[in-house]
Amino acid sequence: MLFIALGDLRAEDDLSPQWLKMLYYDKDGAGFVSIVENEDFFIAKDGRYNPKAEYEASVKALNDDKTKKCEMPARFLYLKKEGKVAGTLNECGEYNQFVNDLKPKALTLIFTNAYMGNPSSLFGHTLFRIDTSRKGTQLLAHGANFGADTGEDTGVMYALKGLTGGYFGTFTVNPYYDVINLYNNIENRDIWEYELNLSDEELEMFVAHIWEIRNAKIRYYFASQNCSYVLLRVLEAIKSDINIVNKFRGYTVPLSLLKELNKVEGVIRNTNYRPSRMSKLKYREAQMNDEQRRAFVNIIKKDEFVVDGLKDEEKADVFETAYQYVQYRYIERELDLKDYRKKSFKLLKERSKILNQTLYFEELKEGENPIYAHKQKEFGVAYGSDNNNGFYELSFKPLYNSLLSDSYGLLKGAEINMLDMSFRYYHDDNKLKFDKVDLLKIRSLAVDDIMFSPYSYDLKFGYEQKREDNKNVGALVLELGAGKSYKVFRNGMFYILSQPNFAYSGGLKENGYVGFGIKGGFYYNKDKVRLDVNVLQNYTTSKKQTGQKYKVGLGYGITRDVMFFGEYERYSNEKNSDEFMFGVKFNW
Amino acid sequence: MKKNLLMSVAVAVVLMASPAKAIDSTGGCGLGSMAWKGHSGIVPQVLAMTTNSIFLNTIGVTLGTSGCDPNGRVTGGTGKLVLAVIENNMEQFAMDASRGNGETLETIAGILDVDSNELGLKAQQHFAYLFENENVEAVDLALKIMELAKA
Repeated sequence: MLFIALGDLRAEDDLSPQWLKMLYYDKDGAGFVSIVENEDFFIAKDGRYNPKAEYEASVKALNDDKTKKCEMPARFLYLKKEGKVAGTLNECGEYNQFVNDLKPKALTLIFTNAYMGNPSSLFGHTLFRIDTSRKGTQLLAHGANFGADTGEDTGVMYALKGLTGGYFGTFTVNPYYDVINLYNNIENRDIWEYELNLSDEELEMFVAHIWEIRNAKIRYYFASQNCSYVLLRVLEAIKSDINIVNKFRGYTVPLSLLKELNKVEGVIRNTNYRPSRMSKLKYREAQMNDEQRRAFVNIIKKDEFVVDGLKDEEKADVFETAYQYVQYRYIERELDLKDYRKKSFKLLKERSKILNQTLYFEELKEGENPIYAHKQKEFGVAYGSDNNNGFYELSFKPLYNSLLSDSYGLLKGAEINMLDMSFRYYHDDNKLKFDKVDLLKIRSLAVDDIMFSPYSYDLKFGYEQKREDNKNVGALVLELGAGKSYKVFRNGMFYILSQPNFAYSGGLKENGYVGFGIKGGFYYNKDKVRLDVNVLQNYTTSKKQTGQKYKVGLGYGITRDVMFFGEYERYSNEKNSDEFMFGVKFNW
Repeated sequence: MKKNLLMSVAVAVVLMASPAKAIDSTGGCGLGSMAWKGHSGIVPQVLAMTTNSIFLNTIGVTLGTSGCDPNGRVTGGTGKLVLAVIENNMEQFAMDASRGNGETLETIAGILDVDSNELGLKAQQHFAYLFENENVEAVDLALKIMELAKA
């Protein structure tokens, strides 16, 4: 092995795809550049830009310096397979400790559901789990998470730096129980576990690779080079039959990664659902019979333990559910520590007296697999009338989900639309017009019920047409709403939001207005039918814009990715105006 | 009305706020144990505490100083692993013990290489012994559950 002449190396165009992937090279004009930016990740001086020089330098360094392989075990394993280096990793103490702690058995891709309380979690999150071969459960497995090191930044700075690559991302390894506690129990997000089909060799390579890149500095971009994108690059680095990273130029959202991965045959060999504490609580509460529910409510609302009429297994259920609710309330800071401990202890003491009882009902096990949610991009064609002026409309939206779309596998009552734009052709005037763009439109209608009392909110920032003096005027608009939603029956809810709003346009009187509105609405979602009806009463600094706006939206799903939709809008301010359209939307 | 306006502004502010930091206020290592955990979070004087324990001599294990490893990994021998699971999953462990089954008991049974149903049964039957009152220490629990597993 020591006698390899550098001349034996293959020509540059022979460099294997895996070598390029392992060191994160991208094509850069005629050459290459790695997305890893720190120099000490490379051995050759120009290693970041020269995969061939890096290859040669790696072969040399790993042959000359026997400690180098302990820093770069993935490269070592790769070159060993190529016959360029010899030996084992046995003498690498720290690395072996790492492997020994992990006890790797398999690799699982973890998806955590969207979290509407945080802008960087709106699309969910992905990380790896290195499954453990330890006896028992996967609680002792480890998560490998790629995240941005944002320091103490908050607010605008955080958003700006995040979008422009102002942060570096790194991999961190944590016990899986911490992952569960954070996502399931603190943020109340469902977790999906997709076990990947890896060979033993690929798994060994993965562990070596995670070790090798633990100090790698990769620039973090919230939209493009984010957790999902980098996870995919890591996966491709160790698994040569996956080649999908090229589909993610521009932006990557976790769900698209899951969907693309799922298209690769056999790559996901097992799926497991781990409901959040909130999901479990809602499910359990829904399963209770009337007596159980009465007892449950008495405990959680009045601290009264009246469970006399209940069978043992029914009682056990009530105590367990109440205990979990107490945990929820403590995290939400609704209980102080002392009170929390007292309640927890009392409930469990009662529970422990009911021996040998299986649960009255099964725990929540089935969920809607987000891999089968509708696709992310949307295209629409419609015909409509704008104050008796007929038009054809084309619309396009790169991301992500509206309340009129199919909600399978997605957060219920929530929508996130980005860059939703539409063009219209008014046939009588023979005019093509840019109609609107919602740069960002978010709504979260979270139901207030006996256990949970979340706020609902909406936010819209974009460009749209305002009606003034019987003509359309394009204006920049910002709307911020907050309020509450209440369930009225199984699939329907009412919502009420207070809504400060702003519009700016040279074409409007006084260049726009500041407004304050109250919006009341009804939202219904069952199987194929989605309906959103609302009325906004708006008071503005412009007399011409003060008034009501009525809106009806209807979606009817043909498949998860195709729907008929209809919209009706009526403004009743200084002058009346109305508009309707109907058409088809496709997701792909 | 004014309150609602303020709330709207607050929501807008929340949307711009930084993630993670707000959540990580528990400090230390485990996330799941902040409430049930004893007086001060990490348990410093394991040996000092165990000298008062009646079963010190019957179980010849040395627990680590804490289940939380500085490098963020699950590591160490049997005792340390049991402590790590309990210390970092106290809420869940307490419920699992009260009902005699669950993921934390399965995990501990796996570490101790005992039957998880039997361990569950013992934990439930001896719940009052494990949890004498609402102030329990993870170290005590770890020692007690190991004692029960052996019994």
